[in-house]
Amino acid sequence: MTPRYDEPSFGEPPHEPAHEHESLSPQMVALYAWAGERPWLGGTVTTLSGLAIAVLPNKGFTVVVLPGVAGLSGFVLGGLIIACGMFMLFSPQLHGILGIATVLLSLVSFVTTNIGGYVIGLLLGIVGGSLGFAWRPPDPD
Amino acid sequence: MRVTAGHRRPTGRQLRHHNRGRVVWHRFTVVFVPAMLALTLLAIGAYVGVVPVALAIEGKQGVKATAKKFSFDGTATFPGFFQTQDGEKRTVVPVTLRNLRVQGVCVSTKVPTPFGDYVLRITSPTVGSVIRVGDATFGIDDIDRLDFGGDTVNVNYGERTADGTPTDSGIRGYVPMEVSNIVLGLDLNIRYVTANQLHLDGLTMAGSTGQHECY
Repeated sequence: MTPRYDEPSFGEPPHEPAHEHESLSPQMVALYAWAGERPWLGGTVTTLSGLAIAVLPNKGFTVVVLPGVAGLSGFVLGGLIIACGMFMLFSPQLHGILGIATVLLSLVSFVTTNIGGYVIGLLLGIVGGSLGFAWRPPDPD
Repeated sequence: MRVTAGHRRPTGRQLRHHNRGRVVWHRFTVVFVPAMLALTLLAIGAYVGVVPVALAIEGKQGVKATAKKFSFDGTATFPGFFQTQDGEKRTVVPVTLRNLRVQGVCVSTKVPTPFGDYVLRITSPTVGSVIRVGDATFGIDDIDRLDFGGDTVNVNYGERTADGTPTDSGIRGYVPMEVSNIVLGLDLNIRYVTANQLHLDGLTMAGSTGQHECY
């Protein structure tokens, strides 16, 4: 029989919130550890930015594909920014160059893609790229 | 703390103390601040017409447009196709206006909302500021009405032979026309508009439920 009991521990503040003591599931621990090794916030915001630039100018309209720079560049720039976000998440060692690339692509989208996905995607891209650049990897043990 | 014999799961507090990557905020500002400055400059440049931007407007929204004065080099291509989201293929005639110069433009669109009709209205001054577009393409679905009036319309009137017969003049492949004080009334269904090298100068935009449309 496995004994289970609650014990107060020394050294912890006396008024800790209850959730601080609750143990996490193995999946949450793995996700937390995975996120700690990569710029998850910058990567996520960057990916959202790419989606906004690719989808927002086309959402709700009847025409799928348009000729011209503005019709095509949304998909191209949005796809490139989504790729930057994905690389931030899965190749975190490239976070610096990916962050700068995201910011530059977002600024380019202002000129070529319906004012950067109606400004929303542009601003998300600048924030996401800056977060990706500013991320510092964990210190090697 | 919950403790199980032989196995102890980490808590949120323990995980936070674990060696993790983090955002260094002074490095964030090193990129973020210059990027926002560049964006501000681009926005100012687009507003005053120095920075060209590209727009693609598409859909079935009713748009009313008038212009006091405009000039362009026009080309029409063979009918093209576009595909709608429900898979339907439709035919349009893409008409491209090159080196478009417009003064005194007014563009308005009305969107019905639960709070009343919301009108977005874009205008530019009739004198001084000129909107320049390097390449504007209109995908014309159909033409309902065309009114045309003017003082003079002379076609191929530029040069004559010795006996007075009009002769070809100007650039080969173009029809030389001389028109003045024309009034055009067009009622078109345009499926999409794309504009490249768009220099917006003095454009003002206003949107509210109390706005009037252009006509």
